Amino acid sequence: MSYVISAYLIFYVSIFIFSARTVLRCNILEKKIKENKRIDGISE
Amino acid sequence: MSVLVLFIFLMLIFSFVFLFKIEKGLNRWLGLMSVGSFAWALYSIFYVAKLDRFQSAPQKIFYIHVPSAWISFFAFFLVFIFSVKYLFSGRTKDDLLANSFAEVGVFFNTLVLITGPIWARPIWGVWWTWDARLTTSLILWLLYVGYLMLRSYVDEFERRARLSAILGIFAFLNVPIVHYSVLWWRTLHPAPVVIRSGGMADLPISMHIALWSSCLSVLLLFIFLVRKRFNIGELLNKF
Repeated sequence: MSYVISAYLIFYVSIFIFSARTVLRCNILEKKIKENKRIDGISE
Repeated sequence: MSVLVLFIFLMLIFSFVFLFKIEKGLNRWLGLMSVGSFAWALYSIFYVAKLDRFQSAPQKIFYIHVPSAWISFFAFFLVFIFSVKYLFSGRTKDDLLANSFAEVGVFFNTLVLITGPIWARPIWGVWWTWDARLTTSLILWLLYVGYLMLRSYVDEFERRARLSAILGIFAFLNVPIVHYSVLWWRTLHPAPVVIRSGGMADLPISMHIALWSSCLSVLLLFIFLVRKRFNIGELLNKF
């Protein structure tokens, strides 16, 4: 039973971490680009 | 076991709320559908699917190991398609898509290589053996890790895209070898048990429900992750 628990924990926790990392990375980049555009707009 | 299921359900509820708050449009619905289907798959694996007569509980690993393997093969097939497309068209979009499929494919292939030995230990008595299926699977993983490393080492866009497209095409040649390895050589790994040349295998309906639910959840997550990874690629190009 401990093998099943280990396998499922690794599977779901890895998915959770990988998905959260991907989503957050995308959102941070989007925010940075918006910020850069705003700063460019102000300097023009 | 119920503590494990409860813990994963709590994680899924958290993911549901997180995605609902942070995502918009199609990505939000894809993410939420993926989380919902993971919850249903988990329920069907532990409360619908019958316990295997010979392997007992460790057989439950089958429901995460097999869908992960299938989706990684599918991802590598798409890397192959978009690598060929890039070499003909030279479009940035094709290169970005190939990269997105490769990254998500490597992630699922890593899960295959982790869950496989955990399943093998109680059934075969060993974590790892150098038989044809396991060795070719490891080579496949190394090839695509090499693909991702190549992309991170080459700075010039066109050179990086061209070289990785060539590697993406050659690396795919190993996928049929991995698939047929259990038929070509005598291996400890079992031959295909779900889809055979004569049609579907004689699995109980409850096992089919659990397996295909798990496949659906993995597929939805795969689409969601590839879309997000593609967005990241596009955003990085704007910098």
